[in-house]
Amino acid sequence: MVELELYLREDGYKILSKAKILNDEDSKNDPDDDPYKSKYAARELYQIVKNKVENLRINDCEDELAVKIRKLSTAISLKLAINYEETEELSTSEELLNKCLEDVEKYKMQHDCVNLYQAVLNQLAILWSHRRSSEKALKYLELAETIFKTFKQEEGDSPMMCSEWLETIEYDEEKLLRERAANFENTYTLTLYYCAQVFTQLDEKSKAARYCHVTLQRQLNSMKYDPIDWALNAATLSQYYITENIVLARHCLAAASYVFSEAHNDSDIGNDKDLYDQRKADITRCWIKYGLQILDASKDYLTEELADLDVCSEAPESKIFSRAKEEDDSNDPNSSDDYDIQNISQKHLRFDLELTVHEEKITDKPVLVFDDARKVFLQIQEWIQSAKEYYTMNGHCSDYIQLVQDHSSAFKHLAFFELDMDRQCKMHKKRIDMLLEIANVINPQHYLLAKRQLIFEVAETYSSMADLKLAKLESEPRSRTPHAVNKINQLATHGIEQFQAYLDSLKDPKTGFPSKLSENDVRPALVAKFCMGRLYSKLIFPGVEEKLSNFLKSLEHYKFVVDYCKQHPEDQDKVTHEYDICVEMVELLPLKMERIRQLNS
Amino acid sequence: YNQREKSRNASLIIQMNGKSTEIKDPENPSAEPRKFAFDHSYWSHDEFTERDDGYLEPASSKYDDQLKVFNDLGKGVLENAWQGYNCSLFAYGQTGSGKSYSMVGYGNNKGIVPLACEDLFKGIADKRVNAKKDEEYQVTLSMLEIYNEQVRDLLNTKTLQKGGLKVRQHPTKGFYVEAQTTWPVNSYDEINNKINEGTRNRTVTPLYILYFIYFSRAHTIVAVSFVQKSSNDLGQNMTKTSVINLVDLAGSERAESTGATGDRLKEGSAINQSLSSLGNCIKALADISMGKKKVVGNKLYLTLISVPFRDSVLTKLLQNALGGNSKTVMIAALSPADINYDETLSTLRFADRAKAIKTQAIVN
Repeated sequence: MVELELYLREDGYKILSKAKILNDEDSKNDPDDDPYKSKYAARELYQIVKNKVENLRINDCEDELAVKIRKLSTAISLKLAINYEETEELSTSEELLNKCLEDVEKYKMQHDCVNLYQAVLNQLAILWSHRRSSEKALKYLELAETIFKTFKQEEGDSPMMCSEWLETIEYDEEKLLRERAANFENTYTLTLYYCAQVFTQLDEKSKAARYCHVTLQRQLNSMKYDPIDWALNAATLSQYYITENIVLARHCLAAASYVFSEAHNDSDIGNDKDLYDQRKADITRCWIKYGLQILDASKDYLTEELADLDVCSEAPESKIFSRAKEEDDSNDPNSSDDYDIQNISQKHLRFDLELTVHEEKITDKPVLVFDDARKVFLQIQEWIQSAKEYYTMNGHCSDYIQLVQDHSSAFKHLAFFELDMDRQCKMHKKRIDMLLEIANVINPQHYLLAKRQLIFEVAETYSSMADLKLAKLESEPRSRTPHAVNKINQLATHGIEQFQAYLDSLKDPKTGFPSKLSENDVRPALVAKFCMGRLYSKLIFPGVEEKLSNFLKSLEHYKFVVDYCKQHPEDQDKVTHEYDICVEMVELLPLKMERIRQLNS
Repeated sequence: YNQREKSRNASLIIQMNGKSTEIKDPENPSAEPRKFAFDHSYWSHDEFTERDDGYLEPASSKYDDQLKVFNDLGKGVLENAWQGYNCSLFAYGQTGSGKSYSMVGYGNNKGIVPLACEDLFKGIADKRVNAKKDEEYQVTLSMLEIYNEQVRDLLNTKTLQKGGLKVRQHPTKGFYVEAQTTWPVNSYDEINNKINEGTRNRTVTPLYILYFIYFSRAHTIVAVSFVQKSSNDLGQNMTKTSVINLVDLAGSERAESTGATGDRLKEGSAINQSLSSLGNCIKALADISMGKKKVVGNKLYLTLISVPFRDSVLTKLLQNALGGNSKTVMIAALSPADINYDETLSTLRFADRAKAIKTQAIVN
């Protein structure tokens, strides 16, 4: 025993420390044609100490010295295994790690060994993930979870750190306890974080989200985090929750806002201030998305309620409300196990922060009437203005365009709750104005896709307005003035023009309109044709010639859709609804036109 | 095989059949090799002979020499430039896999970049012979480096300030770097000299400045801007500007992907060990939800929800280049050796994904 300690103090620790520096620091500067130079050197040093230590074993029996040597050797082996993994020699790494587990299996619950065992398990998970074997990785991680939980509940919370095997620690007792506890928790946090990654790989989103969430919680509780990063991560997580659980989505956003306000606003160092402003705007944008989702989902909720529909969707938006409610209601007293993260309840996922101020800004329940919708709308508008302060048109054009699109969506959603048709039209008009404003400024060479999106939305909006005016006309025959009719025709014509502009943007300068559309363009292009067909049919003209001419154009567009789908049957399922209507119209329209001719001949 | 591969007795795991490339898993040699299909698959590992002037020419039809690669890829790039369209050429792959050989070449085995530049200047010289009064041709060069999410102008060392240059996105100019310098060039030699100059300013250890071994820690972008001025029949000035971006992507194994950025070059199933990359993990989750399709009534909706704020400078640049109607050529350089299986597979996957990067769907 004495000999071992003497060796370590005289030589061992020094060599190990040098190895660590080589492996972790010097390796960053290795030349590109010899990228593992330092790592190979580190490896040799580790091996030297390991050999020396193992040679100090006096005999074969398992006495105190032998056990100590075994554990120490394992600690070095772990370093070696990591080293081999870093030089892409996975098989050797695996061998070493498996041996580590075997060698200290008996002692894994001991105070000086548990952290080491945890670390080995974590490392095995990393190794198997490199081999693309997520299930195997998960196995090791779940084992690590159990080990942590068992030790903490039965033994204590500050076991020796595995690093203590390889270096002398000069802390006073109090500090040592604290460090050990923090290290133990940290190793566990890493386990959880790796679980999150593996579950993401396995496409088990719900579980992955829980692990990410708990990781965030733990970072918060341990006070080891950068507020800007943490806030951004919480906001990003809300982007996931937005489609699953609206209550948690808002909670994460509120936490993000709260924590972000802790961040320093360094106005002297140029770059950091810019980052601060940007992240602030980013979190605001997440809030915008949340607000839009509330409005959109509320729409679905109301539609389902009113129509009592048997909704056959994969995940109806309104489920995001019901799922949250279910979790809140469940008062199962048995589900209080903090360590069963896969099944952790919503209650336990709350962050330990005072968030009322932030959560009060906006609801997390469906909105049912116009006034409530309007409150949400106004808040969204405020957020958009705020985000535009950073994401300016001249500096961050793409982001600016997205904000304009968000604004337009907000109006669109609000219009659903508005009962008065005229006011609805005013909202749509606002949309068109803001969309065209940016669409006409951007250079199509750089912003081709954005321009297409904007034009398409403008076209659809004109179409909606025409429909509204038409519906008004039909419900109040007395409002049928030449002015009103003219307005409808104008709107319809603008819609047609914009759809055509969209279709023109698909043309190749040399070959014209493509005979086979690319996958992403099929649906919008065919829908555009379909809409044009509809709009032509809706034009109101007294003269026979004009009537027939419009119906003819309408027919042409419907026919295009039918012909295209016949030529490319694989695309038909993208537009089944529209296709069916087009087929009908292709049959009906000629008959209708014939009748008009006969009536007027 | 490069030096490291030879010293580790590497064995061959890559095969090419027509347009597809196959890779065998060295840990499962009997398993079916994975196949990847591309527009072109070029073989340059063996079956070539060296001419007296150093040029490596095919000894069989299997070998694809530099000229073939240029004819397939480089010519199209130039045609586009003459038409006034933008173009981007990306080279991606592990250090020592042949990225730089494809782009730049070595000695007499000139790569796409020098061949294209020579061709361009020849074309301009030809045009100048019969040029009308108002016809003008200008070629300018700029060179940037993206290292650790910071942009530096490699041709203006005075701007190597903290934080790097700001990247902006203007409604009419598109994506551009503030205060970036551009330099007029009139021949391939001048371009070559400028690129050399820029290369010396890269963030690397000075010892390894050998022109044909590019360094893999940063992404380098050389932008050749080509302006053609003329007046049409009505006497109006017509200007066509096209930009050819030549992007040398950081070696996959050394891409500086810190936790904060979503640099998706090296994506795989490997666990990322540092908690600083928690953001990327969460983002991946949000992305999975982003493309959710829902069917309501008879309509199919694609909901685009999440905010794209984790995109790295490079990702933004790539999206700009890959979207729209500019021509893009991506060259993925592969090592044939078994010891580089992981990296090679990662490269193939990246190329596969790049092929599939479609611009976002428009609307429902």
